[in-house]
Amino acid sequence: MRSEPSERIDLRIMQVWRISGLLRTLLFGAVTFALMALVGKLFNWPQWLSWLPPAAAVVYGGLEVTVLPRLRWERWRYQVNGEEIYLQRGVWYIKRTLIPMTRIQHVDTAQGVLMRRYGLAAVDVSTAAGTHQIPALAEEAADELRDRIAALARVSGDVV
Amino acid sequence: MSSGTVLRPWPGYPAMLSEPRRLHLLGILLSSLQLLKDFFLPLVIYFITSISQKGFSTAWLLFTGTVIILAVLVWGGLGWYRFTYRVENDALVVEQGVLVHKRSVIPRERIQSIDLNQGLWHRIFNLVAVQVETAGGSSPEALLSALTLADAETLRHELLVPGVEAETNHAEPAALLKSAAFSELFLFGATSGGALGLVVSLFSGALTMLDDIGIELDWQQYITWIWDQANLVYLVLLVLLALWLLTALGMVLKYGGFTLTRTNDRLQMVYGLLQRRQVSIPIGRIQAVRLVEGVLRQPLGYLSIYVESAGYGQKGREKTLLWPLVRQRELVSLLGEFLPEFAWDIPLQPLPAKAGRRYMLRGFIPALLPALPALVWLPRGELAMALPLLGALWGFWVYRSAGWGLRDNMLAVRSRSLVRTTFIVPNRKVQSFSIGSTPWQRRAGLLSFELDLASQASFGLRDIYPTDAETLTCWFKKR
Repeated sequence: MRSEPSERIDLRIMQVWRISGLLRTLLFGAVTFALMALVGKLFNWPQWLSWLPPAAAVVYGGLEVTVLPRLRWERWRYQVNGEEIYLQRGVWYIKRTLIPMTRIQHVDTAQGVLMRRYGLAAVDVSTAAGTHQIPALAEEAADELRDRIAALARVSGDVV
Repeated sequence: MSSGTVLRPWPGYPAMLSEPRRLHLLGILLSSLQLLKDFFLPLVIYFITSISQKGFSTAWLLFTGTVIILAVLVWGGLGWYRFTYRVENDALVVEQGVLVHKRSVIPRERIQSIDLNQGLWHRIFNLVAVQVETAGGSSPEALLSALTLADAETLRHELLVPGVEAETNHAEPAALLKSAAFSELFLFGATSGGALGLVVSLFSGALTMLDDIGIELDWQQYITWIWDQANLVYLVLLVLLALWLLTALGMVLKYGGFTLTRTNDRLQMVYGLLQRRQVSIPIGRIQAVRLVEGVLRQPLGYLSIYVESAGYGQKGREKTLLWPLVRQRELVSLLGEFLPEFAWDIPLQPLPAKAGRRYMLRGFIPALLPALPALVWLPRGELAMALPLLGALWGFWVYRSAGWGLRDNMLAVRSRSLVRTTFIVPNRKVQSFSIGSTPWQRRAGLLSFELDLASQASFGLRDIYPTDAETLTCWFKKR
């Protein structure tokens, strides 16, 4: 099997993942708890059932805050050369993707509120089949990479 | 359909191509009908409330009805008047809108396909609706709802044929043509998923209905009872048979008179008995060929051919039927004739032997989850164990059906969920290539791969050897 892509993404993304993971977990826990409580009232289910989703949320949220960001960051690799973009990601299912420069239609950088706070940006690479994202680079690095990919893609010409 | 009988909308109709042109006058009727359809519900509500308040009176009904129809016709007429199209600077320019003026410009090189459709009204007046699609668009970029056949063909030539080829292509001498036989189309309909699904769902519906009548699920009693009610059974079977025939005939109506034409650089499919459809695809836009063998069709030795083209179709994912039904052994010769770019008899290699157990587990375990509680809590719960066993069998079936093969720059990947599907794709049409593995796969020394196409389709296989994955990577990187 080929070797891993060489570059790592920015370490600060772990903090972003922790916060967004926590928010998502809280939302999920609250909504499912409310739903279970409501349905439980209607059908006279035992009270403890409605505590199951929040409990699951706490367990999963715990993982999202502690180990998952680290694992995810360690796995995330990318590499850009004149020929192609090479990505690796995934905690359980490790996936490596090759995107030839000739297939790239356009490149964007994107930044959410949290990402901006940490001075990070994502690079979105679009082909005719869909978009691939390099999730976190320092803002300047992201801009630089975006311009580099755009230049390389232009040189390679365009085929659909 | 000779061009001598072309109806011009009015005498002063512009003859110069770059001048704005209008639709055929029938366009007024069509858009008025569409308007009535759009406002059908509000109108019904209005009529019902009015009648319930003021009581029914013929005079009132006639008056309001006339006003509404006039208003709709006037609106449709205004819309028709404001709708013009022209070809200017290598682009189709469409202007429309009564209150809000809208102008869309579609450059010729962005046009993916130009389809001609005929509804019932169109057939009566010998007109067509022209639908212009571009890559990546979600809906037709431009819809010209009523043109004479001659006008439509003129427009198509202006938009599709690049300058140099215009001369040679105009006569279209080297066109290949093949029409589907009625028997083929009927078999296509009779074995279609729709017909099968209908029968299965009706049959299960009939079973539950019998159940509701008050027969307990004691099979011995059940069968003797049904035996006694032989007439009812015959009736149900007869109804099922009739429905199945109807669905099959429906498919024949939809795909009747299927004709496939290959000219120099494009494929054209024309089909439909009531609603005539014409689909035209440039060869260069075809991303992959998809061979589909339905559960009923595969044992009979038949398959359907679809083409995947970039951004074409309503949802992007939609595949276009190239040929409804062909015998497996005639496939290569048919493709060789009409789509030689994809006519490859690629020998497939099966998945590694050690993948078989993994495929069976993938069918077994998800089916075990609902079966276990049934085993514990339901009476006769051990019957539920048939479910995971079926799952494992299905997994084995999927495993045996899967395979892949390379020949030069072409890749064939065969897989099954229920129907067996084979993709044939050249490496330069693959947008991105992925390999991946779970910890379990890594322990077993196996990998999965996946390809993404511009038609939004992705396909791949689970559990191949890493060396084979490397071979595929090299194939993908080869220019």
